[in-house]
Amino acid sequence: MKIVPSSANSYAYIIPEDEDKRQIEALEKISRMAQPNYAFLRGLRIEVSQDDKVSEETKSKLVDGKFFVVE
Amino acid sequence: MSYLQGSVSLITFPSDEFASTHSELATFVRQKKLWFYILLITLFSLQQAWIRWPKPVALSEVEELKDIMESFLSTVFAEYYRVIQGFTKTLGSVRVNLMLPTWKKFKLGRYMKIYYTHGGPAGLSYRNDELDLRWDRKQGTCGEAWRKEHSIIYDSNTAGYTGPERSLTKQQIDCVGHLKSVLSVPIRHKESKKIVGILNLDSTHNVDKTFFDNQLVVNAITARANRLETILFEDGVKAN
Repeated sequence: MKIVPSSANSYAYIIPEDEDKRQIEALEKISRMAQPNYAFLRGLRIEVSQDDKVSEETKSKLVDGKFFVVE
Repeated sequence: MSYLQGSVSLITFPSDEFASTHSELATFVRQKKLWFYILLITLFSLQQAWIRWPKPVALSEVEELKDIMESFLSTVFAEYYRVIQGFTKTLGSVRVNLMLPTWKKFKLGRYMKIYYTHGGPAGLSYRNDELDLRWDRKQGTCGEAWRKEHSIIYDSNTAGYTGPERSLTKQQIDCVGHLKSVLSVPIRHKESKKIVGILNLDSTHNVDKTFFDNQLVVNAITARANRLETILFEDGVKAN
């Protein structure tokens, strides 16, 4: 893919190439066939910042005050 | 007397010509059945206008799809994390939202607005003022994605990914100024080619922790966004 950098008048935008289009089509077919399996998310550490709006429950579970670990 | 006669003749002459032309025209219309064709063209134009006239859905219909859409957005996360885990086991918090084009009153133009959200496993949420924001074309990454019909990347800390100055209003800056990276993917209806929504991933972390500029991430999210085109409303949402 090609990323056209931002300028004084516009944001950076993405132009997909043929390889990307083929990959996107293949991914669309895969995602039609099966529901994703969420098991792989276990152990994932998500860094939560001060600016994020999260529930008190999530805040109480944060490791080192900023990491939410997916169980 | 002769003067008066001349005047009468001057006055009546054009009227006679008009009557004659009118009569010829009437005969022509009668003979060629022009009135019939005019009626046919008028009816056809009215029918085409009716077909093309936007028929946005009511907010109640948008609300009915909430559970399905939020469930779908959770699969966007799953797909995102599936790709990300190839690079790292720790990443920045990310939220996802889906904006739909909404008609202004009296159908005087449209704006984008958030209707569906998901905060990922950490349960991040949007503030009410963020949900109420309206985005015109070219305002923010979503407006630019709508206008350009390309995916847009923003990062507050990377040269080449920063946004143009004056793209946002003060109200918008107050609401979303805390975001450090955003990926906006337009959703195009395959038949009508209209943009029927914008799928946005946003974060209070920069792209070094969200990977929004990674090819695999962009393609995976685009594939998910493309799946939405058949579900979404072709003519957008009716203003409240």
